Amino acid sequence: MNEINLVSETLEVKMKRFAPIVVRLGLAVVFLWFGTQQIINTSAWVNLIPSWITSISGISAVGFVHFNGAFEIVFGLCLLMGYFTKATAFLLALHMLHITFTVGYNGIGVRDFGLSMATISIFLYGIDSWCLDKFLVKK
Amino acid sequence: MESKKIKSIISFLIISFLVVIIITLLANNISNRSASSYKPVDKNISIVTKIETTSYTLAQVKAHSSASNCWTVVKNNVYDLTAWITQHPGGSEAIISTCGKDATIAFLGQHGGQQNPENVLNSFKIGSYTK
Repeated sequence: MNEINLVSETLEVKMKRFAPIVVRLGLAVVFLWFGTQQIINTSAWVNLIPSWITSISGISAVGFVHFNGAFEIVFGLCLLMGYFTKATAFLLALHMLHITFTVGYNGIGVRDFGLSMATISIFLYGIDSWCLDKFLVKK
Repeated sequence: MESKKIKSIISFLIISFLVVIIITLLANNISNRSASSYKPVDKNISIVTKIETTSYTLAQVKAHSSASNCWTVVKNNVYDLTAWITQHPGGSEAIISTCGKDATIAFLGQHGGQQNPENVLNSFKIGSYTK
């Protein structure tokens, strides 16, 4: 009986180890997909840019979509590799919170709120066992 | 040790943002080139401004907000873009997303200052827009 308990505890510990990895990799894929879509198919995203952003920044809507896409690709890759995980997750969480605030209270806004919270959880957790950071620190 | 960590984070952020800016500039450059090089694919589309006969309200434009019946407002003019949806070089979604709406910002953001898109747009003009 004790052996069974021990096995189940070991399994539970192993499963827990994968939890932050799954969240980090899953979110990284989401950021990479959205980022590449914004670069490849810009015209589909231009309408989503609020007019006040272009009027305040002086950047065209297309330029803004490209910048947003490039930001999500670069930091999505860093998140995928687990490179500067905390800093990357912090920036992406701020980015997602800003998008959530801009989109407002609707289906997309609520979904983005969930993504923001997941990104914040990566920031709070920090380096997991598959992060590049972990191997770089060891060296 | 702590200052070394902060320094490495700062240099990581600087390098990352430089990469972001380079990708943005490259993407802008490529999109400007492809946008300025395209020409209407259908010879039946005449690059002639139609004579303005009617003015429409936003409510009237909103009644044509589907892919099979797509009216759009750009710079106080109303355009019937139904035929252009399948021919748009940037994909049909970009046009469908503007159906029944004022797409001035979207159009200027994507094609501002480009003559070809202006000409194509003018060929679909059906009237003016009254607020």
